[in-house]
Amino acid sequence: MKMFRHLVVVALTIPMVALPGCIITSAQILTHFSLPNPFTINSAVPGDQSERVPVDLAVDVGSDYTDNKGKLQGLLDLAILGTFTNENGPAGAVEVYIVPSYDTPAGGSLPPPQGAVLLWGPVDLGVAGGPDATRTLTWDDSAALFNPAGKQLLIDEVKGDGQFTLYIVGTAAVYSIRVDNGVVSLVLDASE
Amino acid sequence: MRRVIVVVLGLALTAARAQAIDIGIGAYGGWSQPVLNDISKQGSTYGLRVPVTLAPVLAVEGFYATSSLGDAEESFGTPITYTRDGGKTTGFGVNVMATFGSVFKFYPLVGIGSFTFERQGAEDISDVGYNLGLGMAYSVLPKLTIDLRGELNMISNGDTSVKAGNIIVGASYSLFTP
Repeated sequence: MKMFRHLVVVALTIPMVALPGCIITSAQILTHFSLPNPFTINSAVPGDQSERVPVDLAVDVGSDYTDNKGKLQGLLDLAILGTFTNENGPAGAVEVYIVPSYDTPAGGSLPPPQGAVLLWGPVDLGVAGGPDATRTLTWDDSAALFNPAGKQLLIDEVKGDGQFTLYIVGTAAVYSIRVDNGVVSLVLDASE
Repeated sequence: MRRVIVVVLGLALTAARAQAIDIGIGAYGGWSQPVLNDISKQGSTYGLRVPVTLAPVLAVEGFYATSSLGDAEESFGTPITYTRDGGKTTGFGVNVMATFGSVFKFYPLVGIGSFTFERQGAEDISDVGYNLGLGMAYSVLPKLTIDLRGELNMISNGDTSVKAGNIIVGASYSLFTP
């Protein structure tokens, strides 16, 4: 009986040892970087149709990123948060595009360049002055707005050099949209 | 993986029929604390078990488990506080336990199962999961046992996992005792 008991304990121990260490030691780390606060995109102002946001995660996120860069397996969760206000124009939407290059200068820009990939959106806004002209998305709603192709590009950049550029743009023919307290939240999925 | 669970349960039930080994039914509930996970907070867990005692020192149990983790709140340095769904886990599988003692029992356990982790606005994670834990059980009546268990549940997600530590209290009733 004693031998059988020992065998049972050994049999129960083997699966624990056999589990990949990376699965046991993995972690989900919430971090974020801020967008310019506030900024406005305006279809009527040449060179201000979109907001260019060059991102260097090592600088903009800091140690949460640099401490875990070698361990990153992906992003578990993403969201773009803030208050979006349609200040002038018909009902429309806001979208965020991504390019893998680090484009400067930051600030007002022409529309997203050729090859930019839709990352997030659209966030629908009502006609300026109307009841739905201003929206603050919930974290859950925002997380659902990521486009798979853009999300994959972002993951590749996060696991790569950590540098990329976001372009925030309106979809209506005429728009002036203000964004307050904008942030991009990231949940880094890391393991040893 | 499902095949493994079915085979283990099938062997247990066959052994039980052949040797009149103890089979029971039980329920449990308790606390679930996410481990190394910034966007889930403490929640609850509960489920059902079918414990089968194969030998004085060996037992298996089929289980169905569900956990609701608490929502995370964060303001990201802005005046707005945002709330993220903490997620929900459901799964079924088999635990194997080495039991020591008679009326009062102590046991380590390992388990394997099929789990799904769901969070609003995110893709579901459906993959194999593992249980590791320690428990103690006390027979308050000849057919009724209560137990206290601490376990780590890990749902595989590629090279990482979603983990939670559970403290659970359960009760089981023996249906077929030799």
